[in-house]
Amino acid sequence: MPQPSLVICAYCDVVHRRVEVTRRTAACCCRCGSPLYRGAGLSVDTTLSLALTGLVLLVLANIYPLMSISLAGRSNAVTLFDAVATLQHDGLPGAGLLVAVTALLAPVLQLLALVYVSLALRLQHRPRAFLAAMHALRHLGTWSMVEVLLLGVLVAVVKLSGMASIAPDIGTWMLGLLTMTLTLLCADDRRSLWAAADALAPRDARHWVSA
Amino acid sequence: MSAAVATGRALQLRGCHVCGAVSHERQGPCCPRCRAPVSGHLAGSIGRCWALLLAAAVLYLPANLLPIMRTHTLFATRQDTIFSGVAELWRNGAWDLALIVFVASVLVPLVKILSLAFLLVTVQRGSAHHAVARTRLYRLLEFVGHWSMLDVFVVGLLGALVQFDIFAQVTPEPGARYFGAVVVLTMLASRSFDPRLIWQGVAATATTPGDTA
Repeated sequence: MPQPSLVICAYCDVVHRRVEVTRRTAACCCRCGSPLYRGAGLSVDTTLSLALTGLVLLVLANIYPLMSISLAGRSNAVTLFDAVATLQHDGLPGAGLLVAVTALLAPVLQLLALVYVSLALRLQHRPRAFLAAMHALRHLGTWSMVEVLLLGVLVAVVKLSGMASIAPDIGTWMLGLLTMTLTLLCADDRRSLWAAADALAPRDARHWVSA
Repeated sequence: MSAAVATGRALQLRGCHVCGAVSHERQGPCCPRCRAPVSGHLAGSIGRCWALLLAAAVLYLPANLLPIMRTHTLFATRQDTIFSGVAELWRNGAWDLALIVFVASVLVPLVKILSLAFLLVTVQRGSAHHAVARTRLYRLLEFVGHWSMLDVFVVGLLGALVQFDIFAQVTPEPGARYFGAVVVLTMLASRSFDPRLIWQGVAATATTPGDTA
């Protein structure tokens, strides 16, 4: 399987020869110590199953309320959509958009892109929008902040616990699982996806420099 | 430790930030494997980084001084800035959460702005000292940056939760808008900074053993 045999440190520009590294070990730059790559990342199959799981969890996290509150005999339950709508409604459309993008759009597009790519590769077919999807994944990863939302829910619960009867709901548990799934997916450098795609497009492969 | 290292610049090689493939300068401006634009060094990055950073610094003041949330109860109406929100948590006994919110919302953006300014100044002065530590600082900034979004989420959630007419109501306030802007600007600023610039000064001078490893 074609594999680039050189690696350049993104932080200090030093050129390294790629050496195979075992699982759970990372290769670091010899000059600045920044991580270069890790041993055996996620396989195509694992990526696909995690991404599908993530999608299901994300849908559930948004259908079910994140928290429910009771005060003075009345109750209210809140989903992520409600939070975005509140910000929009109260004159903060920019903040509402920011929340919608970081907590919903970016994660959903990330997961869809991963499903699209890994499913096609699993079926031995290099998807037409493969490059576009891989490029998009780099950006989406930066703007996906599901774990911050989870902490936000926790803070909100504690803030109101003195004033009302409040508890996290099913949506929050789904959110917790989603956070774990996304963390696993984002830590991966997608080598198996690139390698599988290279194997399916021999014309385009082998244009990079080998030592 | 010997410092005879080969840099991409010297060998006219560059690594793709999307797919990791290494290609030669003569192969054109795009990565041959994934067609992402690949650059030797981001030429305009220092200017752009300063611009974003100064904008973030300017908006940091209203973000912290203006209220981000208004709470109406039967008895009183209070307006909360980030600080008073933290103080409220502290007073209610949630010291750990007060600390988390304080660090995420007040300290992180401030430290980010100051650290990026420090990195930019040292790069512009061609400093060759402590390059490893400065690189580690940059990686840290990349990592913690997005946690400052915490307060924006909290304000949105509380605003949606507490809608009980005259009994209790929480309304988001404009401070949250500036706050979100500061987070976005600092994230864009750190993304536009090219950490390889830190090492330009080091490569140009005779290597000092203390800077490697």
